[in-house]
Amino acid sequence: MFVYIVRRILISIPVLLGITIVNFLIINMAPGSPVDMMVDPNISAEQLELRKEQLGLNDPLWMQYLTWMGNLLQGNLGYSLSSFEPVSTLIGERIGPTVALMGASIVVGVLIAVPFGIISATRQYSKWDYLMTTGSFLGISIPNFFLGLGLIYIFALKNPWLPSGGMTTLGTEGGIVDTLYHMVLPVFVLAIGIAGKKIRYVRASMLEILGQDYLRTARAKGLREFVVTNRHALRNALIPIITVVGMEIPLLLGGAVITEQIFQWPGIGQLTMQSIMSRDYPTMMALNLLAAVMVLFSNLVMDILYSVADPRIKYN
Amino acid sequence: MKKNSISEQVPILQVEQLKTYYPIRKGIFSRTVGHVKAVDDVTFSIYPGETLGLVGESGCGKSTIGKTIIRLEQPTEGEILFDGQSISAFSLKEMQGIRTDLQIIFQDPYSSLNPRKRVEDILAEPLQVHQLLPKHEIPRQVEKLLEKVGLPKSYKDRYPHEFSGGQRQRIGIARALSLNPKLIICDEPVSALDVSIQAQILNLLKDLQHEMGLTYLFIAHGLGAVKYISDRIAVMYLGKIVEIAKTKEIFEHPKHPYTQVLLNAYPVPNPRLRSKERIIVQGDLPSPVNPPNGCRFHTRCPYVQAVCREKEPVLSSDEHAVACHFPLA
Amino acid sequence: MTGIRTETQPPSVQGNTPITEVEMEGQRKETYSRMIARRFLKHRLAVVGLGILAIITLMAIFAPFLAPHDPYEVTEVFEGEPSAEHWLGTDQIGRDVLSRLIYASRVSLVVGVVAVAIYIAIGTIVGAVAGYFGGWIDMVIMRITDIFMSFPFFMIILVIVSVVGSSLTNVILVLGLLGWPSVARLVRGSVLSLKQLDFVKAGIALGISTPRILFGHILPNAIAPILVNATFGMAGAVMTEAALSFLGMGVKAPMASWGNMLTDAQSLSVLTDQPWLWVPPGVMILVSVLAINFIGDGLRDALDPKALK
Repeated sequence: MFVYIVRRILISIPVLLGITIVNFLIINMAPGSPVDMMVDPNISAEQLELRKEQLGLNDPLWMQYLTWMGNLLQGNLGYSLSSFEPVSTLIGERIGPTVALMGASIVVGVLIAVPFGIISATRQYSKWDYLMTTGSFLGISIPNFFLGLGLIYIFALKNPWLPSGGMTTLGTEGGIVDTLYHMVLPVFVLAIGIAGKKIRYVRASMLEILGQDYLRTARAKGLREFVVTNRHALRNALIPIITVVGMEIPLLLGGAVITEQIFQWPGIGQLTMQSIMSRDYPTMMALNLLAAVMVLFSNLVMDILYSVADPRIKYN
Repeated sequence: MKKNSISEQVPILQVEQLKTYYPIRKGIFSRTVGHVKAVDDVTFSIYPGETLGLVGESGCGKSTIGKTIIRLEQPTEGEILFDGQSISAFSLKEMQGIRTDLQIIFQDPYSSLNPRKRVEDILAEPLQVHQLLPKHEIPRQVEKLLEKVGLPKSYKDRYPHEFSGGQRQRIGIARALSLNPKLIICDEPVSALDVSIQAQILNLLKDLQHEMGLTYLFIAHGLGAVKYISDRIAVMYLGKIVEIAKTKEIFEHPKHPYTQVLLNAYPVPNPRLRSKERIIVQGDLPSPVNPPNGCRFHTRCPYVQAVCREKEPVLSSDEHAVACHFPLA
Repeated sequence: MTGIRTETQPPSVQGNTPITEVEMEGQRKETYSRMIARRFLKHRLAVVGLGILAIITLMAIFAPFLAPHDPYEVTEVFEGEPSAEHWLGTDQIGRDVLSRLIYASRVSLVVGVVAVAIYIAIGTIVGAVAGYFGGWIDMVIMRITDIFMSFPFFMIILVIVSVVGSSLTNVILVLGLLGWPSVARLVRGSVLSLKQLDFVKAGIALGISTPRILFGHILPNAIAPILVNATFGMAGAVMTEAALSFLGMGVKAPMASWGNMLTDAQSLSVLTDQPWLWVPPGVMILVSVLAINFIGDGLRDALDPKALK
């Protein structure tokens, strides 16, 4: 298992390098030079010329890539073209709200999916099963922007029960309760998407395990069906479910762009949208890179967790 | 066959000191830490028109020999001479030239036919690829092939899933025959079939051999099937051939203790003819990664002596060849 | 010693039984495609989905005959409520919403079909090559798919479209050129297991060329999962185009797309006071994506090899 983990980490290194190359090439398609974007725009024109020369803007592409990488490694993600702040500062301010939003969505999504999936599996082909199946397809198929707008229309505009956007009520101190209040709608939008996919997954996973011999043994021992389902089956069904949650992270990051935009949530997604709208390439690229690295890292962690959780996995 | 016919004839296939090893990779950088010695220094010949039975337990490397000869596996060392040509170093392109002479029948009739193709397409494709016949004659040839293996020609429009195991195996045989080969490797062609069907397929193979002058390398894990069809039998143990002789010799005067063990596993219909002393082997087949030193059978041999643990016996070169320090009388 | 056994009869079986086995003349088994069709038709939601998709397709083809107005024509009524003249009202610059809704189905279908066709073709070839040849080719291709799959799909598409400029063609191209890695993985897996089967080995032994084995023998057996993936992929492409257009980074006005028809609803006044502007296109996206997903589910069930036989 140790060998597997080390191998898995080693494989990630060329992938990480590849991610930076792809990202660099995308920047190159944009107007201006990527090294240009690394320069602090607060300095004077002469200094800028000097810096440009120092940075070797006329160097071949691969040299520029190395320069860009060197900057990256020193934590220089470039400067925003719209606010003139270092991109790393911007990201630092925005990452908290996004992590909170995504974390809550995963938890809520799984909390919806697990009981619904179990009901669906234990009552296979019943009315409930069809209802859950149809519901999960609705969850997958509803565009998050349409769902978000619909929820705002119903719960914020027609009935002023919940705030329509933002993270705190304007003119107040805010606080945890206020923030949670603001989180309800965006979390629900993201959680519905996750739950939609996971219900089917929990159902399939439970069905497979419910048919296994050791559960028949458990029933034959006279254990109540509730105990059989929730103690014996669920525990084994959860392993794959938990790891598949890791696969949701790229989708969630994409979903966060739209959801944060609609709900004015001050996170990474909204920053992405703002940078795209104002053609703020350095910010855009740094966010794209950051997202890819986050996905790579979460995949790595999930694979390792899976190898620890499931002793049957093969290491070669 | 006449007494010394074998030594006078020119073999159609000669296998010389053939080795087929599979690397075992381990560790972070997948270094090769050892080899599975599936076929380890094997030498034998097959003569035109004969059937050589190749027998051994599963995992002894008998199928690997067949697949190496036809180059579905790559030989590690040694030489394969087919029709006087050394083919073991042939590139896949050069192999193309002898594909028409060398064919194979597989064990599992369910995975050996493409489920998406009709019988006609399965049988016609090799003919088209090698351009053996003008296009308009191919349908006729397909029908002929079906008739040859005992299937109605009306079956040509059907898909493999519409057939039983035995019928599928007939289609597999027809496919091997389509290129009019000289030598066919029969890789356990009846092992996956019902007992009642096995005899039909064996008879068909025998009839075809007479009719078309085919040569067979017939691989099986029991002596049962090979006895009926083989002129000579080679017995394999852990990647090596331990005994080769005419079928009658093997059955009447087995020289290697392992051959005797296999004979004991073979049921005798008449209880009065059953031998009193039955040799039973103990233990499992040792790993082909680290085969035992000396004679490979020594861990399970009932007659084991000190020298068997030290020195590896060589296969003798006479007509009844055996690799044993103390061959049975 | 070990007995005298010289009988030359076939062992354990007796003699020359006639070569006929189970006779199957007359009654042939159901063909594969018929069986799939029968199983698909049993999936009620999938049949409903197919019906809905057929209606949307007809709507797209016959848009000029169905639309009551020119979708680009500016009428006198701005932000008009639904009326006998304009069943779904008019938008902020006075264009007929129903007509735009009907024409927009063309955008969704074109994106769904063309983008998916592009990436299925790329992914199938790349995955087949990786799976069949293995070794370093496989290693390199798989690491490249890892790289592309690390970028959150929607985010990288958004970024690239914003760099290359947003238009219908660009949306299709970007979706088509970036969607292949998951297909490549899927196809690679199928090819890896299929190439172990004896019919492939038989093909090699018969001297059939490698491309012919790969494309003529292996891939036809890998079509089922590709087809299922393509169907779900089409639903995803329709959804992605709508989301991009909603954000203003996809199909741009005046061309109508269900996504860009929702864009205006980001303003609270439109959202509150003119629901006829944003509810119908939202429902159209939902219904068409749902229909395609149902079809995908039906296909998956019908083609499931475990359930066959």
